[in-house]
Amino acid sequence: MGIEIKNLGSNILVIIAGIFLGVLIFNLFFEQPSVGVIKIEGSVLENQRTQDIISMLRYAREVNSIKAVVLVIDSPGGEASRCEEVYIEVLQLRREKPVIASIGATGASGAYYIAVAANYIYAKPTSSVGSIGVTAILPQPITLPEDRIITGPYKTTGKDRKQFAATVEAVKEGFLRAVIQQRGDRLKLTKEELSRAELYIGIDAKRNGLVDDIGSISQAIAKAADLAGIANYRTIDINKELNITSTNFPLLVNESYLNQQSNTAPVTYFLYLEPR
Amino acid sequence: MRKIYLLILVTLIVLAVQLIYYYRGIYQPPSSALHDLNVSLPISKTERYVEEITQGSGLVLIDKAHGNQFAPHELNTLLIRILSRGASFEFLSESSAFREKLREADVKALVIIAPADSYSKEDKKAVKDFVERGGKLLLIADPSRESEINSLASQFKMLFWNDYLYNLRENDGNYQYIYLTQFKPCEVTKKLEKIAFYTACSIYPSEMGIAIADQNTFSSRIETPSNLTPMVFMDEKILAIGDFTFLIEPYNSAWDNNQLISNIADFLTGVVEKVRSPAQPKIISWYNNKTKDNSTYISISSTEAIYFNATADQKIDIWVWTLNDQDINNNQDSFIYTFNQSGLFYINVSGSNLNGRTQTVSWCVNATIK
Repeated sequence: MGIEIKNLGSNILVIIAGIFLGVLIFNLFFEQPSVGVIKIEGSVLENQRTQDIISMLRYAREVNSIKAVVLVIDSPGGEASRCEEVYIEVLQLRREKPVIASIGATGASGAYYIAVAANYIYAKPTSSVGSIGVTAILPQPITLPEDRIITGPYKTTGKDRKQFAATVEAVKEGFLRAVIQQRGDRLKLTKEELSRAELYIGIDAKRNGLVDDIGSISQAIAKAADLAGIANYRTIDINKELNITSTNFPLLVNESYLNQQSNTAPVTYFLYLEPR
Repeated sequence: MRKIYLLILVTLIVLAVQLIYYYRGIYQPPSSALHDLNVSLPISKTERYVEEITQGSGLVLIDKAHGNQFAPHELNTLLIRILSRGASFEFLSESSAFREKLREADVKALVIIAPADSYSKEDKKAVKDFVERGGKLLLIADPSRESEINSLASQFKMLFWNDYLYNLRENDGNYQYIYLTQFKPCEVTKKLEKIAFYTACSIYPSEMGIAIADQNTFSSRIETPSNLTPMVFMDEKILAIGDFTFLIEPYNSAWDNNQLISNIADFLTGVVEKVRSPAQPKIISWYNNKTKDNSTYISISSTEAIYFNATADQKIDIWVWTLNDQDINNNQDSFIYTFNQSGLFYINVSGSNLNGRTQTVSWCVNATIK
């Protein structure tokens, strides 16, 4: 009797050790999965802003427990090259983990460019989606002071005005190709219709294939988890984790912003400008 | 030994339970390739222009007294053409001298570009009198330059719309940079095949338009389908243009823009070159594949599809085919119809373009289907 009790006791100890070991190994090699949420709010015009978004996307890629990412987008876009940088970074992340975009009030121009890199896009019924196009300020002819010397006629302005307009058209073409390629068969608009740079409300954007579904951020998180093949996951606010806030960046930008910029050298924007 | 097995078993079960609890599958990433980056720049054709200088005369006045939204150097190309014709120009910057100067005998033309200020009643009357005396008037507005030009244009029953024209399919590098290829023959459109305007507004009345936008060109404001024109020529005295940019370097060198500028200089300095109006288009041959010639009476006795076609001596914009007076909405130079019942069928065709309408060619098909 005494021996049986002793055996039972040692077996229980082995079982407890097994449970402990199982939990330990799981936490060491697998961890509880989580869905990372990255908020991209406001315009993407400043270098610091771009770097913040990039660092959040890299964090999401590098942290093993984050198995899927939701981009909560509420932005009119920004400078073309900055939006392209974020777009490429999202594509890279998508190779490893599913990315779902959830458009809030606005997912326009460069913000939509970023969203198309996601596996799946949600919008709200009245979100503003689209505005696929380019805004640019033509280079201004300059008067050279006598004490400055340059080695070529376009050293200051970059290009002549007519050539620059053609460049802007090529930039637009790249944007259109990105949308057409990433949306694939889901897109119901022709290239010509897309190039109208129209802004659609969410329900129309769903109808014409610019977004996949109408839904909340919670639905976007659930979809991300589903694509990643995880359940009982945690949600991580990556902005909070990295202490990145986006309150300094305007949600809508008007033309006066562009007019304030130095316009001797040409700059292109994927930016939806607030109507005057 | 049994205890080690038990330990491994329990560990594996705990691990499996956790895995099943948290993981339900493996992510299958879609292709994340970048889009094709081989985007070529749209090419705008730049024409080398050799001017044929014709002799003109007189003084061309250029209004600068009404807050006109342009810098004198922007007008250099046109001014050089005016000078090369033996004429001269003068900028009118004093509003008090405006009316007085218009009465001078050697003033041949008045150029008004994007005035920011409205014209007074007296100024309007002076311009009207000037035109009635035979003076030429060139009115230019541009959607990118605010202007009160309608305060003057309206008295000549003209109106510049506050729109811009665009073409998403074919353009000179931007959707607002439109091509114009349909011209009504007149001195301003001589030798023009294709011009490019860079953000141009449309002008009323379009019936007096001498450069008509094609069917893929739309207005940013006018939604009713209509013939849009950014260039109106009235009574051979008043020329209204809805774009200023085509006059400026380097836009003047695109396509036939330099020729247009020369034509404008000819108009302003009084160089008159009679432009022969082309004759109306004419259908020069027609064919059907039943008789395989130009016979217009065809007889058939069984169900048969017959192909008809017509050829004109000019490019036809609109072909109209009718079957027993019913328009079949076929804007092509050919038509196929299957006759599957007995009766007399009349097939008519005619074509039209800016020069007018062709004669009508009629076929009669007598079908006696058994």
